[in-house]
Amino acid sequence: MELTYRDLEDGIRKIDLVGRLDLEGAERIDIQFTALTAAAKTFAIIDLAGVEFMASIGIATLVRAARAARLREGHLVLLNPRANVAQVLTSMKIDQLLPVCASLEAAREVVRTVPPALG
Amino acid sequence: MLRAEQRTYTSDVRELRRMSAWWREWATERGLSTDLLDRGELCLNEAAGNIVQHTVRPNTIVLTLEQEPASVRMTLADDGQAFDPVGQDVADLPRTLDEARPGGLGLRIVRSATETMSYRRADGWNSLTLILTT
Repeated sequence: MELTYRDLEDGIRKIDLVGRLDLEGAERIDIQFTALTAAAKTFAIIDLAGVEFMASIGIATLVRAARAARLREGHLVLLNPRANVAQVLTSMKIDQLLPVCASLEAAREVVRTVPPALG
Repeated sequence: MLRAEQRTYTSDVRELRRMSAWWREWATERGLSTDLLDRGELCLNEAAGNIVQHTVRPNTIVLTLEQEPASVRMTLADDGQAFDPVGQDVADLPRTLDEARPGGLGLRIVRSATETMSYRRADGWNSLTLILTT
């Protein structure tokens, strides 16, 4: 599992994940992913186009990061999952908790639409 | 029923990808659908991951695959402590991010992707059988 990121000019952070988000993959990115999404007012787009496979541990990683972002007045959206990954997200209704966008333009717009803070 | 095929793995997180690779190779050789390949890989990862993560001191995981006319039978046997995933409660899905707590989805994924799921304990071995319709 590979993680790369860049901060876009509008202050949005785009994080690209590539590989398998299974137990081994989630363990590999966990610390860096948490660090990149947990700061106050982080608006992050998680690009899933390169994720070949996602197990429940991957969903847990995304949900934990999304909660942390929302608690700190930030927001996290998912971008462009492959069909098999989208199927897992849909069947577990994660797409009802986290916005899933099909284009970077849509994701940039949605990520700035901050829902009410948690808690 | 066609001939069963079996592979043995050590109980280690790094073995999960080897299991996945064998499943995909086995299913592809039989011309099974992409949907079944994906569902089977997910179930295998969740069930085997559960053994690797939560069972105390299992040494060995034996994976058996059998093709039947309208289904695939996947059996995972391990020599760890007794653990019956079939008897476990599955939490409701969260309706909001506020309700969401990481974890607890693995068994739900397996249940949603399989036709039947059965467990037995015999001679110090757990045996979990998953039936996936083709």
